[in-house]
Amino acid sequence: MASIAPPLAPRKARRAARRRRPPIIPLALLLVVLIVPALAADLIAPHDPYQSHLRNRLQPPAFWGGSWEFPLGTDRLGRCMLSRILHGAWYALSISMVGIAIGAALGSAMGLIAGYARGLTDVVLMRLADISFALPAVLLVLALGVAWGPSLQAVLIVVAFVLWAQFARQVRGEVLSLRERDFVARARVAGAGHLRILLRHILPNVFNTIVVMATLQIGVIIILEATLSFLGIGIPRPAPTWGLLIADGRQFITSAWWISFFPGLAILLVVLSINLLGDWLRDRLDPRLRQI
Amino acid sequence: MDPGLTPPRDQAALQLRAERLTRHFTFGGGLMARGAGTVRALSEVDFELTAGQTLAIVGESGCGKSTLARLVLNLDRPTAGRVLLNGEDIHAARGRALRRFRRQVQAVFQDPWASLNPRMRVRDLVAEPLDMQHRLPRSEREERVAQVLQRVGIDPARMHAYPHEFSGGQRQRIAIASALISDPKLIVLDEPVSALDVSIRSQVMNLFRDLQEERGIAFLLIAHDLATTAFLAHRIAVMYLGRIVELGPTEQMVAAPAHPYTRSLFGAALPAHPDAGPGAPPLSGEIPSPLAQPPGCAFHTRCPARIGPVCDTQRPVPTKVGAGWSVECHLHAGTEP
Amino acid sequence: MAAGGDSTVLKVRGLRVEIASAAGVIHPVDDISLDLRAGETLGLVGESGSGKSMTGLALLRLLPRPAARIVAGRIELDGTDLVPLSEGAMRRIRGRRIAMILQDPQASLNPAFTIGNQLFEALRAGDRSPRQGLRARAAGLLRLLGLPAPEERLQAYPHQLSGGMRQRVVGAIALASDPQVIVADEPTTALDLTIQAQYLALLEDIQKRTGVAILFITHDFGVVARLCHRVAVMYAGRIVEQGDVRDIFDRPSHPYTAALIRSVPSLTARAARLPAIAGQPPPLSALPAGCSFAPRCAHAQPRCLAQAPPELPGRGGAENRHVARCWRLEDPSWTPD
Repeated sequence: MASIAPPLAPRKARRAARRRRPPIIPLALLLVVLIVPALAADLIAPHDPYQSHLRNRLQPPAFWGGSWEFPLGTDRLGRCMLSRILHGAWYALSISMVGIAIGAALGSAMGLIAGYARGLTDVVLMRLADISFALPAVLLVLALGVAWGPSLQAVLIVVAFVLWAQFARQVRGEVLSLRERDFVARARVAGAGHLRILLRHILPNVFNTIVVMATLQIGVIIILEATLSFLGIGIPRPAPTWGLLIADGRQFITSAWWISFFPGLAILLVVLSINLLGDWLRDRLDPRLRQI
Repeated sequence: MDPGLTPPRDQAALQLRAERLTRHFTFGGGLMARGAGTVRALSEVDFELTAGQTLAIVGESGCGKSTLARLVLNLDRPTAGRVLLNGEDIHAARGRALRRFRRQVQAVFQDPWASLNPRMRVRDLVAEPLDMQHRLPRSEREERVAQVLQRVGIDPARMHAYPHEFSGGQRQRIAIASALISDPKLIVLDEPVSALDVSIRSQVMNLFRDLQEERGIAFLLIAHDLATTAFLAHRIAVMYLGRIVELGPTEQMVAAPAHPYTRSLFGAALPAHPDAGPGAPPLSGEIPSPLAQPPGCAFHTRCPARIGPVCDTQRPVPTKVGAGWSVECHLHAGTEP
Repeated sequence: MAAGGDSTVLKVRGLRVEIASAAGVIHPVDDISLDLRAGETLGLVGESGSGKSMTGLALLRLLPRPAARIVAGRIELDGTDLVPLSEGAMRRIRGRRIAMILQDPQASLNPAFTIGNQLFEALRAGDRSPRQGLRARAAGLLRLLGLPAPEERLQAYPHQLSGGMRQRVVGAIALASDPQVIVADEPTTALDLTIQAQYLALLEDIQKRTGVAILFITHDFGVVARLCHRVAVMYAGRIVEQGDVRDIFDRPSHPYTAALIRSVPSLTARAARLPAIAGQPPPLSALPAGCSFAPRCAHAQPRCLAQAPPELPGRGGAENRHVARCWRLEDPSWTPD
């Protein structure tokens, strides 16, 4: 058979061209704003993020009339904004990673089981997913906050809770169609049991979907975490999470705009980059475009 | 014959029997149902198949041939009736008996792009039936894989590649290799060449014939292409709306089909030469929905040879019209030799 | 039937389509020349990847843009070259003077509109005729295509029809504006055998009545034998042989054509083995030097591997417009059998 690709629709052809070049700018932004700071904030931050410099309170950024000692200015306690944002990256990254890992693992497992078993199991699991879609995350974290006080665990539980149902739904949908494919029938004829079919034949074929979804969710979770911190029910103080930094700047928004602005900009850049990266990854892993 | 192959074990022993095999699917009851109903996908099907033989099941879409294949492969359970492999009910098999069944019965599916897991290497795909039986040492496993790949004409050195690196014809050969590795006695061939290119088809069909001669494998061939069927099959069973309406030896049936539907079906086969003419006048009308099967003979709504009200009301019984040849049609009632 | 030489409605000369793919620049259609006369059916035969479907799309200027484009050649419809036309001008010709029927009727019909709506649209696009009488004309078209109860079908949505009926509706839409040429790309491949027979008989009948010229794209020599007057065989983007259907079947002049026809199993003669073509078609991104078929050809000589053959008169004779691209034809006594 000739290896010429089936005629691609124009839109697909453009996507095919786009997927070949990795998105350099989003990748670079992510490295600079999120990943390097998260891993090495101690080394690159000019100051201790918790250290007050009371004589230098509410200093503007260097290019706004401030000094290069505090490149992005200081907050009301004279703490270095740049250092605080750099340290905040670790929270953004670790919470989204761990939360998504938990949510994706749980949701994918549920989706695999629901789609493969069908019947009553499917109905029960999908109703559970519906319920978790319907429950506002903020209410849940408030309840947990009241019960335990604001804590990292409460945030992670909320993140997993928000995510699992989405993964479960998506994975279930794909499993429903995969389980009818001939290669699954062939595996059964070969004598493979349910567990082997699930893990060896079906899971690897939904893995791309899980990875792409997880990537796209990082942005959502960073915003969720920031929202929770902004509301004061996220990670407890004094951790300099980006949401908390924005919240702290709220009362100075007219006089010292940089306190809220730079953490907000960090969130914007990171979420935008991740979404661009996720789009590229989706195109790249799209099995329909793979064989070309 | 390839001397490196394991000799066929007790090949003459195979006997597959379907007895009054029936599969109905019921819909309805649930919230989403627009109305309850029963699809009679397969009704009271009887046949036998022995080693070294090919029985073809032919018919148009919805005739029940795929349901039949799934039942024989134990991928689905019958509503009534049973399938016996050497006297044992395959749907009652558990544990060791089921494992033995899985070793003895394999399948090759229609679309080699869909039937090979794109995420597995060829060696693992081919070895899967073996792996399900016992864990072999790696070298021995790869040797067995190499043997079957060699036999079907795939370079064994490529066993570490993924399926997408092969062409359609090569992929089907890989699927055949996998079906062969556990030394099965029966292979269900579900439209095994219809997804292949014309110039590749004959290669694969020759391979099936050779394998049958070498190993005495029985084939249950599911097909809609009559020329393929006539080339491979010793006997043909023609299905219409879930029933076998005619079953007989290939040559005689092709020469003088007894059932009006068989006649129309063979008449609809495309000619091999422009001078062969348009064949029988095409059947009018469409296949009735299996949800609402006509009473009497299921074919009476389209039958060009309908003899009268008896066709509309009474279901014909199987009648013998020759050696190993039976027909369900009122035309032949009472003609039993 | 084809009359004098002046009835040529579609004349293709040196058509070349280029695709810039990851594997480099390829030519799925390479220097194709065809003549199609009124009332004539030309079968364009080839395997997957031979370029036959791409040729069909190119004729209607429906190539997937921007990946594929016509880089050379002329497509003359009744004397007008379609290649340089603007998209707007092409839109006025497409569907009216040249129409297309695709393999999958599901994809050609809009699921949100009734059959009637889609037919009315096609009828009005044809001649901007007044609204009155549309219903009757639409129903008449459906009747022409053998749909029972056509008035009622106008109210139906595509999903309420069977595959065979949907394909008839697509045919009716294609015929709505009384085109001179219909390009049919494997329209019967997805249909059941008896339904396919009905459809082919219908096409033949419609052609007799309307005199439409049909370019029938297929992989199946059975369809060619049944329906076509002339045949063009494609291999790796080129037409390797072209001639009257009887010349192609009785005096094939390219080894590829001869081998393909031989490899089709016959329903009546149960051969021991099928003559098969070894190997598989080359990828278009890595065509061999010389004749593309030479590496698989039993008749190949050193020259075939080095130099691409020109079009030479076939064994049916130049006066019958029988040509083939094979060096061996220089020897008048040579046959590819």
